[in-house]
Amino acid sequence: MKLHKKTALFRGILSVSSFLLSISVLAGILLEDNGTMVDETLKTQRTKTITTDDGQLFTAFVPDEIITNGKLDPSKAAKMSNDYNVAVGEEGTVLLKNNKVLPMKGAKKVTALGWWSNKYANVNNWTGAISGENFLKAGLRDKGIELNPVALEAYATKNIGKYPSPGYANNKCWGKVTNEEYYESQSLVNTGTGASTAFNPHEPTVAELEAAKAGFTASLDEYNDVALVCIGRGSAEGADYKAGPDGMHPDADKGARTPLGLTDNERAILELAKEKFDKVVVLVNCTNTMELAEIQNDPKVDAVLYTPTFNQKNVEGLCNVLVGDANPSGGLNNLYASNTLSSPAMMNQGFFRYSNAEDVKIYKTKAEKGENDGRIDTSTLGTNGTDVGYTNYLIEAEGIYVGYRYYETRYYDCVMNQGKASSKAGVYDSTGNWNYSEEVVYGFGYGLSYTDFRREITSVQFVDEGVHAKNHEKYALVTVEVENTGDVAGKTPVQIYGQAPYTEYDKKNGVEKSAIQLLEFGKTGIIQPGKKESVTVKVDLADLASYDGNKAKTYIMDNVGDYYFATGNGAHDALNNILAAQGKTKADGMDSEGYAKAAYKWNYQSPVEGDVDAFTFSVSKNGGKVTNQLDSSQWSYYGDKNTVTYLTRQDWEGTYPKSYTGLTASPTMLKYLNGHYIENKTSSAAELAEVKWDQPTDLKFGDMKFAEFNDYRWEELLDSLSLKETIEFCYKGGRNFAALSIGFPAGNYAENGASKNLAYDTNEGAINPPWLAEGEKAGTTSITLAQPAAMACTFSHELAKTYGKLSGIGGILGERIFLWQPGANTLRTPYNGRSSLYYSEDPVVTGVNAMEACVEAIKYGGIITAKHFFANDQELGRSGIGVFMTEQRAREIEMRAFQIAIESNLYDTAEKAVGLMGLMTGFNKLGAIDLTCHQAVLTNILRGEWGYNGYVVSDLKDDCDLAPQAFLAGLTGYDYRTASDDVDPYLDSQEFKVDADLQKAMKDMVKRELWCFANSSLMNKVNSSSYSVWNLTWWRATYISTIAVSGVITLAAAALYVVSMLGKQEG
Amino acid sequence: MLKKLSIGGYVLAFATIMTLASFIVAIISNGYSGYDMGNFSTTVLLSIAAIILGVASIGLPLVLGDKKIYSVLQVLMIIVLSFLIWSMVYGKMDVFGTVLFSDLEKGYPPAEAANLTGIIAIVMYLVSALLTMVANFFPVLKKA
Repeated sequence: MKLHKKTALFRGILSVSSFLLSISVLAGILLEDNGTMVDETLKTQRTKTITTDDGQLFTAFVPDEIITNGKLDPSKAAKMSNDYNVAVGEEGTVLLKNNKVLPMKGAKKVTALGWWSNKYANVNNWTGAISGENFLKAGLRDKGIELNPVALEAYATKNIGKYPSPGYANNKCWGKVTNEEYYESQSLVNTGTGASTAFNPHEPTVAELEAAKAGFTASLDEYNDVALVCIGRGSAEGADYKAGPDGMHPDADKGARTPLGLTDNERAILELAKEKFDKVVVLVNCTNTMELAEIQNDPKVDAVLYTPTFNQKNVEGLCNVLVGDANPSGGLNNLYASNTLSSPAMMNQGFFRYSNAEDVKIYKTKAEKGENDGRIDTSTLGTNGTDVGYTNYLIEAEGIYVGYRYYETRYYDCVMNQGKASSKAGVYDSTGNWNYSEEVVYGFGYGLSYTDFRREITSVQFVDEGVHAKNHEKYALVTVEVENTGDVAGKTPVQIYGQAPYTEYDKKNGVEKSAIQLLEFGKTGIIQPGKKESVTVKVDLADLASYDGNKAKTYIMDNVGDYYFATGNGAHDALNNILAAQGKTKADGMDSEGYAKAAYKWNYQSPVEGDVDAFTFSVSKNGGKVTNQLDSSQWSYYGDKNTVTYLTRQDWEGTYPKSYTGLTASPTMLKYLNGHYIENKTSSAAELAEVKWDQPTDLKFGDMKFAEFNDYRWEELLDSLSLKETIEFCYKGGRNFAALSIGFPAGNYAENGASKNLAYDTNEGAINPPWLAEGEKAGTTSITLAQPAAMACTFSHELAKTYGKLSGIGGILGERIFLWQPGANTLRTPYNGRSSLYYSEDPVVTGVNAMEACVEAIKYGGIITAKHFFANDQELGRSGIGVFMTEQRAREIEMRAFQIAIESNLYDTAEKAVGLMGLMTGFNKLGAIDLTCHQAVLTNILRGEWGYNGYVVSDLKDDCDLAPQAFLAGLTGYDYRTASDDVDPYLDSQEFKVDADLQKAMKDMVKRELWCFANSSLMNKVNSSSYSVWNLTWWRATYISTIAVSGVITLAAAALYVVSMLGKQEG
Repeated sequence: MLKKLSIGGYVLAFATIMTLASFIVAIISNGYSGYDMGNFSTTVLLSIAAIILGVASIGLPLVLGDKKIYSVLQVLMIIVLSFLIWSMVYGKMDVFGTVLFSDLEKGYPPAEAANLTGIIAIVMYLVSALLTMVANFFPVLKKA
């Protein structure tokens, strides 16, 4: 019996110890496999950097502006952030209408009406919780104005619980076949953020408000100086609005013809305001452009202000504008159509699935795929094969006519009576034939002020700088004189537009020309009444050239016809000024008389004979040949040449896009869709021997501090890496991976988000900077960045620079080197869920903002990483959707913003090339080729034409099943941001071992990553004496010691257990 | 027959029932479209093995009499349960990553449900393991 008791004891001990042993071993595996996430969560570092000579550390990128007495002063960083955001609020507010009620001088008691009055509050989109005070209330209180508390409370009450998750609801539709089936499969989520397939604006009725808060209606009589009627629509990643009346939730207020139109409840609130108040001001809080014609045309609506997704401090800026402490100086980042369906791009927006979608083979796991043809769904959005994008396509039949380019060009052709512009095609709100005034409410770039300005082009000088490519860099210095003709001081954007002639050559060869396009912009200082200021804007003439993908197969300038430069209050005003310079008047059908002095006619002096100059811009500024690279972006590349008709201004009526539903992927296309882009080869032993690994060297990463891209030492450093290290480095994009052999330190070096709060936050094991404040190891200093849409409306280079500066400083504080922001895609339709995260429908506004941000951020060691390169034109099915377009469209609309930022011509010098160093690819395809694997884009254009030396990371683990092809194409790493970062399944892929070209490509990838790091603020804590070692973090110590202790106990207990059993048996 | 069970036997029986309940929750958790576990077959096999071991640890002594070799089953059960917990955690890493450690799918009902039920299943398996360990300190049957 005694022996039996001992057996149970030993068995119990054995159970406990073996359980602990098993769990600790497995925990160790799990923790190491997911080290990125563990380090991020627990603030640890799995490797630490040791520097024997620390005298050279923290000598660069030290942000003096946030240091007081040698220590970090968080209040300074916060103040910089606040000042910037208030300025964005002031300069990004766009005054659209004003019947002299603004600024609201003398107002003391004001009522904010409309469900969206509560969106000027700190509302958590996920939970619906409202924290803190309503921003509008706080901002106006600072101006001595009391906002009606009863109305605020009524709306706040109605808001509670009305924010269900936007999530990725409209990405989940695996296996659905038709448009109708897809939408029917969606849960009808009501979201205040617009992130749904069926939208409910939630605008309560007056009766509901009265029920929510007694005395609501009566309170309007007391707070009746001004009514601020707030309307808006939200936006969210991963969720487009569904166009048309079906986009409204069945339970939603009635009366809206689209989710972006006003509902009857919204109209009722407007009517209430008009009935109860003498002064009615409408605040439009959205970035998906709404349908505002009825508000604009309502004589009882006195003023309209556009406030694109403002944060708290932006709202302070708005309040300054409302009371007249600041004069509005913003311009619209997007055109406001009367009917949001009227853009030709809307004919092909939404869900389009290949008729033979079942032939696109997608597998959930590597095992399921086996040796079969097809892809493995590596999308994290819909963890296991639930994303629709792989089997979807989008035909961008509108060609280059996106946003204002369509409306303004068609208007121009109406005036010029050409191309059947005045036909019925594309008519939505016109009473008869197509009529600009009835189709457009506010033009692109438009914005009023409390004063008036007269703008005149006083000179245009042409300069051939030839910094990098002689004879191929040409600029115009356009000087605009701006006179304040009103009676209050103010500033205004100086937008420079261009027009290229639409010639017979163009018509014959399918080259499209927008009648007006933004070329650059500047901004005046504050001009006093009656005073003038001259602003000179440098225009890159390459942006005025047109891409001829059919005959010249490069950019062309016309030797026939005249070019025009123009300025004005937005694109429409500038176009009218060009028309005036061309002798046109209202009698010709213009909607207002133009001002010819605000336009400049230019007869291009070509260096070559013939109809067109296909020489000057056929060579990039980097010296690369510019020629067709994107034939595969067109549907015709894969089969039938006549399936798609692109919109041309030769015949607006005959080529107005139709919806391309049910197209069939050809066998050639299916090959691509199933993931076969680039063939990996088997090299000879001699070829493989040429690629060196594990070479001995004393060179360390720290020696490459601030090394140039062409530094000869890179090769030696790269040759010292092992093949396995190189593969792993490539997969992880240099993030959270320590290359111990070269002393490269691991860290969580990337920050995601277009407008992220960057927290001051150093991990365990990090070398603390000398300016670290006492006890500040894990403090938080928040730097808030304005949304790109708000930035775009400022038309301010200076604020764009500040965005970059704050990003860079935030990067230093948070030890984030790669700043995955901002979004630099061109908005194609008003329905895009990313409308607040992308700047504009215009690539120049977008590109200039991104350029200023990246050039400024790197001064503080931060590497701006623009995303999502490129053609992320809708969120629906974004993971893998095939986007088809002409090469002209791709180059002039989709890629231009990225090109502007990469080339950074405003700052490039012969001595030092500057510009964007980071790119994140889109989830989508261009044509049938994943952008992660698009060699023509990532290598031929990016590197060959634009001279790009930076890194290119995927979005999440997009297409990591195609890594060998992606690496050859020019991708430099994957974004292992979340979940398991275990790359072991990929490390032993045979391609890496047998393809010498792939091995060389991987070396190049690592070089690009390391070059970025070597020129970033990471080098503050690394020098030539630095090396990295494995670090015993507390969690490592825990699992290792548990394994050791439990292992010993298990052995002992097992032995005793066996002996006791044997003893018992013998007994 | 059950009256022959000792306190350890009852605890072990409860642990086995708890394992079965955990298995049901795991199946539910795996059922959310788009969030099924890649290694669910392993989880299924281990769960069945743990349940069989639990039943055998109790049933064999009850039916065939208390023999020393049967107690080895209890040790095996705890090892299987530890692997089972690991299998569940490993299989749920993706959804933990997108819901708990980032906001990628936070708020999306199926993701939240797969996450929550996954956590519940893991905790229940853990309780089963703890109960089994406690049970293993005692004989399964009362002494004769």
